[in-house]
Amino acid sequence: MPAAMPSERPDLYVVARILEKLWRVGEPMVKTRLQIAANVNYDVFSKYLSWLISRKLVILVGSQGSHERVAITEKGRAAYRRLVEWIDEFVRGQRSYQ
Amino acid sequence: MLGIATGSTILIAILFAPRLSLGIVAARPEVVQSYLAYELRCLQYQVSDKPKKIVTNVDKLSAIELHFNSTTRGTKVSYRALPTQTGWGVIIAPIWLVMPSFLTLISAPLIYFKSIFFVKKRISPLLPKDGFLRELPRVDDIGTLLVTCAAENHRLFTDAYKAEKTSYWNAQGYIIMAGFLTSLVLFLLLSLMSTEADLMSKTIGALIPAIIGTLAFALPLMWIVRLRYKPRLKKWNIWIERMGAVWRKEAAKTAPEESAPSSFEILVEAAKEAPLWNKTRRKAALSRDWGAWAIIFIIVWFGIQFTISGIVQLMSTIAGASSWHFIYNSILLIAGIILIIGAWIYYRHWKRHIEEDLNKELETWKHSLEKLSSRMEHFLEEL
Repeated sequence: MPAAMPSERPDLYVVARILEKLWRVGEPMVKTRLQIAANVNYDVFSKYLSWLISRKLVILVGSQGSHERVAITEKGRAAYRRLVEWIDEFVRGQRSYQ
Repeated sequence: MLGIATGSTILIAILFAPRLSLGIVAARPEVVQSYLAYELRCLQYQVSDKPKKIVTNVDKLSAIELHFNSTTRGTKVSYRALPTQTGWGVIIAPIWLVMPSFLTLISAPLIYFKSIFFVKKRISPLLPKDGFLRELPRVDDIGTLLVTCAAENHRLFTDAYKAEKTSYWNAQGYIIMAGFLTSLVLFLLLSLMSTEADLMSKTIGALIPAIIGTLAFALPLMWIVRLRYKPRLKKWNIWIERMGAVWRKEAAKTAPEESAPSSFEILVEAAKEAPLWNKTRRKAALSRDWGAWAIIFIIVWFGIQFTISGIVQLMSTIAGASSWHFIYNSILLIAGIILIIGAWIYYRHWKRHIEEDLNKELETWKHSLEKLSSRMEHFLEEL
C-alpha cells in the first residue's frame, strides 16, 4: 500500500488503478468500492480523489454524502488510454526485434 | 531406406509448402490481419504479428501461418500449415538418422492435419460468410490494447522461459559430454597404467574407477547448474502465469475482484523485465542457430577425420614409407588441423557477431524503457 500522496506527485499506479476500475465498470461507482480497488486507506484515497477531480479526470455524481458516486470523464478515459498506448508501443518495439 | 528418406522429404514439401485459400474479405489487409489477430488472442492463442502475415501456434508441434494479400475485391486470406520449431525437430530428426525416416511419414501428416483441423474449426468461423466484417476492434480501444499487450507479453515471457530452458539443457548437455570424454580419457590412462595381465580384469579395473571419477565430477556440476537455473525458470514461470491471468481477464472482459491489481500495473512491471528476457532469448539464440551449428559440426567432423587419419597413416608408414605417402599423409594432417582451427575461428566470429547484436538490442531496450519511464513520470505533471 503506497504512503500518503505527496502534494506535487501522486503515485501513477494508484491513479491508473482508479481510472482503470472506473473505465472497466463503465458506470459511476460508490467511493468505498473504488477505494478498495485503489488499495489505499480512505484518507489517501480522498486526497487522490480530490486530485483527480481537480484535473477533471473524474467527476462526482449523485447526491452528496454516502450516496455520492464517482464517474470517469472523457479526459480520464483518454488519459488511461494514453498510458496503455505507451505500454503497447513499448511491447510492439520488442515485437519488431523478433 | 534412402528411398523412404527421399519420399519423406518430398512429402514435407507437398504438405508444408503450398498456401491454401481461406476466402476474400472486403476490407484492407491490415484491418483483416488485426481483426484475426485480435480474435485469436481473445481465444487465448498466441499470435506472432509479422508484415502481411500472422503465425499462431496450434499446439507444441503444429502452427498456422495466415497471409493477407490485397486484391481488387478486398483481402485474400490464405494459410499454410506449419510445424513449430519442436515440430520441425520431430519431422526432420528421423530423416537425418536415415534408418527410422519412415517415422516422418507418420509425424508430418499428423502435424499437417492438426493445423488444417484448427483452420476449419477455429479460423474459418471467424471470417464472415458474406465477406463483410461487421464489428471491427478499434485499434485505439483500451480493451483491444490491453488484450494485445497481455497476449504479446505472455508470448514474450513464454519465449524467455523456453530460451532459459534451452540454455539449461545445453549446460547439462555440455557437462554430460565433458563427463563422457573424461571417463574415456580416465579409462585409457588407467588401462595403460594397469599391470594386470588378464584383459578382462584390466578393463574392469580401469572402467569402474573411470565411471566413479566421472560421476564424482559430473553430478555435483549438474546439481550446481540446476541450482543456478531454477530461480530464473521459476521467475519466468511466475510471469507467464501473471500475464496469462491478465490476458484471460481482458479477453473475457469480466470484472475482476475489487482489490485485484490493475492490468496496467502488471504490464508496467512486465515492461521492466524486457531487457532481461531479451538477453535470455538472444543468448539461447546461440544454441538455436542450427545452421551455424551444422557448419561447425561438419567442419569439425572432417577436421577430426583428417587429423586422426593423417596421424595413424604417418605412424604406420613412418618407417620405410615412400616420400609421396609421407607428403600425402602430412597434407591430410595439416588439412585436418586447419579445419579444426577454422571451425574455432568461425565459432568465435559467429559468437562475437551475436554478442554485438545483443549489446545493440540491450541498448535499444534500455533507451525504450527510459523513454517509457520518463513519459510516465511527466504524464501526471502534464494533466
